Amino acid sequence: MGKGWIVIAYLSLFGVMLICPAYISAQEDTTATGVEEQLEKAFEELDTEEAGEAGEQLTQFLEDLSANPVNINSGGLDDLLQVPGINLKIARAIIDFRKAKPFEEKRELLEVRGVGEATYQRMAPYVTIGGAESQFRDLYLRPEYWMANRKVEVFSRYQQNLQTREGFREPDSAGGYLGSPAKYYQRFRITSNHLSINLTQEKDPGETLQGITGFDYNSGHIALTDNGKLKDFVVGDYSLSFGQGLVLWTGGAFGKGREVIGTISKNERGVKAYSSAQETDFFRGVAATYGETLELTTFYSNRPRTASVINGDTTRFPSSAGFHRTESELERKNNIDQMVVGGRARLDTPIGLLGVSGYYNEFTSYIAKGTSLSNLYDFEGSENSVVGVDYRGLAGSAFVFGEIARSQNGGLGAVAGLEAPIAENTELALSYRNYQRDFQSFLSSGFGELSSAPQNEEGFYVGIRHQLTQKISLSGYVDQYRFAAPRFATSQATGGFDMLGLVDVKFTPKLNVYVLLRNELQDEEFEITNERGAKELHLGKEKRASIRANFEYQVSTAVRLRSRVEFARNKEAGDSWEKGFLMYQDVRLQPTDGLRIDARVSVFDTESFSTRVYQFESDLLYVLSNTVLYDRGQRAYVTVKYEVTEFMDLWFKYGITIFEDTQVIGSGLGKVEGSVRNSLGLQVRLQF
Amino acid sequence: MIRIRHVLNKFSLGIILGLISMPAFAQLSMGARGLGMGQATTALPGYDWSLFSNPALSANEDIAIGFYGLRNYGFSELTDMSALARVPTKLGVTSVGFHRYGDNIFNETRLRIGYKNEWQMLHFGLAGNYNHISFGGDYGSGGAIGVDIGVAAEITNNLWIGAKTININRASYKGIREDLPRETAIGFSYALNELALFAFDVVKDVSFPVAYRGGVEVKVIENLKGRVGITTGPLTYSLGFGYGRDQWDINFAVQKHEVLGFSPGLDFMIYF
Repeated sequence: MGKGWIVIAYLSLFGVMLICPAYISAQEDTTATGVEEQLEKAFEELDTEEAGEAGEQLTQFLEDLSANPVNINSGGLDDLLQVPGINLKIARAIIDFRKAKPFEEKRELLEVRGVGEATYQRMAPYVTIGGAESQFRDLYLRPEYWMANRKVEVFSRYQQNLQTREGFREPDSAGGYLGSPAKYYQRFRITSNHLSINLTQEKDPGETLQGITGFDYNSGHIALTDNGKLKDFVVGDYSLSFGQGLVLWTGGAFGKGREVIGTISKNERGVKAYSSAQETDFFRGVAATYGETLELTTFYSNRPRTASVINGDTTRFPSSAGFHRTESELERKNNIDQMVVGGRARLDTPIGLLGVSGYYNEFTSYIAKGTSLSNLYDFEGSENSVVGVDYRGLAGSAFVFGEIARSQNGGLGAVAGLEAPIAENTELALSYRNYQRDFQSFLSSGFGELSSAPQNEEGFYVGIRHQLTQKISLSGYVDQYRFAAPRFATSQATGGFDMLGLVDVKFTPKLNVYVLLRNELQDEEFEITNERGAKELHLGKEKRASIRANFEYQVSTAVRLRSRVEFARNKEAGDSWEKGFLMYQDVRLQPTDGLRIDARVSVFDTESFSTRVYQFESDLLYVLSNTVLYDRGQRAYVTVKYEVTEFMDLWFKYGITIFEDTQVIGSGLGKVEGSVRNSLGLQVRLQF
Repeated sequence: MIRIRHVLNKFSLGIILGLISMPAFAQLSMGARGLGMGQATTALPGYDWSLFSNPALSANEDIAIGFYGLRNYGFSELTDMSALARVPTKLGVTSVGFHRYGDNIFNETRLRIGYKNEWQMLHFGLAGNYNHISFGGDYGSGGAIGVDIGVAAEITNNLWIGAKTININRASYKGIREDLPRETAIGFSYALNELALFAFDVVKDVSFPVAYRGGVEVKVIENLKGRVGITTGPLTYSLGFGYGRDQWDINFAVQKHEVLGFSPGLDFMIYF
């Protein structure tokens, strides 16, 4: 850990050094030509002789002025008035403007009242925002620079399931949960145009909480953003997303879904300061991105992880759960360290963006892979590194993208694709991916069927969208994939086929109806007992199909209705078809600007977990709520958002699910007796 | 409301009823107009008996009273009888309804009070429902208060959407082990022109498979309307007609269950 902080300190210093030269090139302009043009404009209508006398002095004055331009961040009223184009009114306006926020570039003069494009052109050769040194003084040493557009936010969120789970009944010594059933989250955040400071703290249900420092999860950062060429500089927690995600991608990505075009390629977000309560997918340390045409990123991260111990210094791969509720979970909390160091270079060329990224990863324990067949090609050891090259660019009217990466053991992963208009109102998206079975890139997220890191998958995706009429759009995709090595719960190579069709009709701007069809086939193993009584393993197909009709209608400015009916069918390999059904009616009311009420009643009826249905719900701010429903029952919820005052927002949610034929929900420590599950959520946000 | 199994012991219908796999409910929705249209009444605007089908759709024009009778499968022991009064006020439409099913061996009584109003073009309604069932002899009786809610809106000219859910408070009878049904329905209705009106409902009771209901109403001649309808779960077909003047309205319908046969129903409305 000590070594880690030295590196952080070193890199911080490096970051500050990077800021300084940031503006040296920014102040260059076409001063000379500007002065000449102005003189020409001023004198060409005059008699040559007159021009000669007056002109000489004026020329000298202007040339001198352009050689020593007035600093608009520090120049006094008289200095400013020397500049052609600046009158008293404008000079005062400039001074007022910079009191609130220093000028970061000359063109910001256009934001000053009274300065139009013509006036700006006149004064431009004679003003400056200063060189690196004066900028350092006028910008970076001024609190106004850092505080421009400052927003302070404080969040406090409380959520709780109202039924008592088994874990809270069990005594601590018998492996029960140590803490209270409340889930609590709080966050302090200051953001401005150039600065972000954040502290996020969270306690999950069952985790203990002892005072402000006793949260199970703490995440913080101090980040500088958009400071000239220093695009990002973060000390603390951050996420990284580069290229097409095969080397480094944390912080979420879109995948296959209802949007069939535009989701197969990734738009990198680079270094992003991290403030989420997701406890595993981030880096902790320091990261910086510098440059324009050539953009360089470097990062160092060292943070504790939680992994189950096999023996001595050998552990499994760190878990992603982030729960530390019982004595045994607490015991292994943060028992190993993960260090990652790496970087990226990206070149903006006329033919597109070219990037190279890579990292070196080291665990303090020896990671032993699992023992099942599907773990055969998983990462094992304590060191890993991955490097990759990626490309995004335009080829004619087509957008082309791709990345190829290699992990330390030699495993390769690649993805390539394009998006192009192919006819009037028609767009096509193609993507091919091939992640070898031994491609071990565990800090990444590639496009594909598996939501985990890209490994052991080859697939081809074709998506198409056609705007049939102004009101009707048709879209769909097919995706064929193959897993060369056994995946979870299989012992051989398997494959699958995934299909989606969508008809979207905007009858009027207020009325939108869509019908969505999905169909998926996947190889699956199943066991049958043959006539001699022996068990035989067979390969069959699991089939799933669903159809959804969704209807959304803005009744009036204050009322929106949404209705949905969805049918699902599923057939496990070697089994018979099972059915699932979901129907809901949703109402959104906005009686006033500050008050929004969402309410929904759903009925669901599924024969099994395989025929489960999902519904996306409105929830407290920053809470993602995609509720899965199975068995038979009803669900209802109400979410209220209320702007109490300009600086205070309140959220409230109550949800209840009632199961018809179930008396016990969940299992183990999460078990709940009874057929009802309800939960409560409250959130406050203060903004200054 | 009752699952038919309670009746099994009491009537010689047992053998016939045993043949059906689908649940045979006593009627939830009232009115012969709705019956003729396959009970697709969740989004039928201004439906006289909407207190029973979607409380958001009560007509707010006249004070009205109505009577309805339905003889299920021709058995007098399985008769639904219902009455209703509707009073539009400045603060919304209020309705009171009464429904009785069965005879002295088994019967079920419902008393309903409904309220409907309109806000920002959203029609919404609420109905309180006191249910009482009683079994003859010493088999007991019990009551429960359920709450139904409904919403509806006119999407474009003459196209309506409606949704309702009944017994949202999950009441169950006190005194006997029996639940009130919990049903959610979403429906559409569309008046193509003066001549034809279409209605379609998707209905889901939490305990039974999803069911569909559809119906058409056609103007035959001035004031005379003909209707056909179909329901699934259980599968029925229905036919009906209605004759109306300014001050009154009479509707007749007959529903045919695949196995159990014909159920004739008649209603009569008076407007003030």
